[in-house]
Amino acid sequence: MTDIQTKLEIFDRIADRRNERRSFLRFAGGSALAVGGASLLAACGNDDSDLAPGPTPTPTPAAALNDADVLNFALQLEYLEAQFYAYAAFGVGLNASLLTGTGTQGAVTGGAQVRFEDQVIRDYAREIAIDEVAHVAFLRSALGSAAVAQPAINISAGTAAAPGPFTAAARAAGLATANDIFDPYANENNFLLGAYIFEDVGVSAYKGASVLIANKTYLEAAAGILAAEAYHAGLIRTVLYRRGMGTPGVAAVPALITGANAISDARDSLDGTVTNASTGVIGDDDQGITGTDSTMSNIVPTDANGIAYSRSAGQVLNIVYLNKAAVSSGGFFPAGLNGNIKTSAANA
Amino acid sequence: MKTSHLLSCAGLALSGAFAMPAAAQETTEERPFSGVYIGAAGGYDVQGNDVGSSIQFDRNLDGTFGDQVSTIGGANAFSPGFCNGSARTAVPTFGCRNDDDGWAYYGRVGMDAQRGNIVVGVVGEFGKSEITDSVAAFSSTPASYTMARKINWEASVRGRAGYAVNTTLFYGTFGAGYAKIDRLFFTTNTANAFAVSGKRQQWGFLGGGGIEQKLTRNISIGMEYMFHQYKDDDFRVRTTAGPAISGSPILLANNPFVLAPNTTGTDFKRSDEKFRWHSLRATAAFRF
Repeated sequence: MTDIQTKLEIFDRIADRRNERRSFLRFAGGSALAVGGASLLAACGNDDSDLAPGPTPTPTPAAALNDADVLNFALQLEYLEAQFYAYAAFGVGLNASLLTGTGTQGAVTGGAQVRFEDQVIRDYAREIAIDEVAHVAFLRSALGSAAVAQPAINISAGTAAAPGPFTAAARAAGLATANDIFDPYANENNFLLGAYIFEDVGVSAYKGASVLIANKTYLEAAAGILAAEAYHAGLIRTVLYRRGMGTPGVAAVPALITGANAISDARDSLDGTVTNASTGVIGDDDQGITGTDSTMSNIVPTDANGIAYSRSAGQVLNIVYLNKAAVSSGGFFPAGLNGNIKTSAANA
Repeated sequence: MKTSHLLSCAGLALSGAFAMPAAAQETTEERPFSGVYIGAAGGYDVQGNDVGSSIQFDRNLDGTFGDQVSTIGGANAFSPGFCNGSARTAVPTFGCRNDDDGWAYYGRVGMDAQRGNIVVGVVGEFGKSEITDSVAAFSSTPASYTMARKINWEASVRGRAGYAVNTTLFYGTFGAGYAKIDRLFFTTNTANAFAVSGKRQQWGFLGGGGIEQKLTRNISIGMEYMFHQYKDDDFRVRTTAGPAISGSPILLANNPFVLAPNTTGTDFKRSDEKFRWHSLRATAAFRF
């Protein structure tokens, strides 16, 4: 009997201990659940993606222009010049392999081979065309995968009702009436005036952009292109002046001088006459091919220090867009430019 | 009779089986903190404000940090500065997020021996903390670069010594830790490529103290403070030319991280080489 009693007490103790274990497991399980829940909560507020930076709220600070932006801007001016000269000299545009890149690629409207009568002018045109195509190839090579595609380019005369940019520019300069068209491919003189629209712009554009190019290797290359453009511009201005004044045996064509001077005035009206506060570029600085005395030449347009003038990128775009307001397309670039420099300056 | 014999044998066997715990209980009442235990610890981990921490650069990859990353024009490319958190955007104007504090949860097993009021023991612990420690740099691009570290898991073996008053133990603890640290890198820079490297398992130490209260013969709970510190100086980010610029000579020639003469790249490292944090946590243990 005593044994049985002892054994019952043992069983009771066993049951007590089992209940203690169950109690602990319930407690521990609850704790584990609580900790698990806490970790889930923590996970909600502690996702790795929470560390990732978000987009910068508006207004987003503009990234500083880099050398690629500046040279892409130059590349598109070179597309324009190269297409104009290539069509005028050879009757064909740039090879398709030179037109690809980032941004929207566009086609060329207009362009035709000029029927040159003067061997010298034809040779000049060919030489300039080859240089301009080489500029395109060089800039595309330097930019590599960052090169922008050729945007849509309009180098047509258009019609009286739907004038192309050359006609629009000529009308603005007073070279053509509201019912006339100006066709730069019609003859040598028109070709020279058409070339004159671009050449001074190219020189002033490269000089103005030089302050934006940080890498000295590419600054030197840009200086080389600037020099080439200046040679071209000097050549065109010289031929215009010589033809305008006439030579022994060749009648003078005064309209070339007045036309070139009128184009210069038109460029001035487009790019503004107020000094740009940020660039220090003086607006009213474009010069025709004669000086204050119309019998004197002004082949090299310089300031009092003999330094050629600059244009900001915005001022250059005023001229190629043929618009003195802040716009992003028009004129020779009907769809605007690719890249990060695409808006003209506000000179209205 | 046979059945009765079997029952009595089973009863004897059971009584034998529980004889040891019964004996241990008696011992435990005299020395309540002696014995082996398993337990859990959980709580909230916080970090000090690591003011002044930054990212350092090795521009010529000679293994020495502290070089300036310069733009092509020679200006400091990181002139916008640094912050001791994670960058919210590409520019410092919108600030940084503070380091994330977070929950922590550990399992532990230990053994104590008690002599009089003095308790000494050893405890091993394994678990995880949800804290994140970040530092960010801003370049004039503008772009931001955030280097962050987290605890993937932490293991430690610590000694423990304390003074017991009845069923309450006041103790201090100190020991070695071994942790796997996750490294994270975020940037808004899309021109370069970034490769994260560095040994992730690191040694450290833990130290702290607490109070433990026995509720029953087998169960105790407590509160504990713990300081953790790990050496974490291996985290590197190798910055090289990314696909966006590798095909463009002019972009390569102007990228501050691959500027000549060393066009290979630039290494990043954190200036704060220690991962430190504080834990305040509750503990529960089951003592055998």
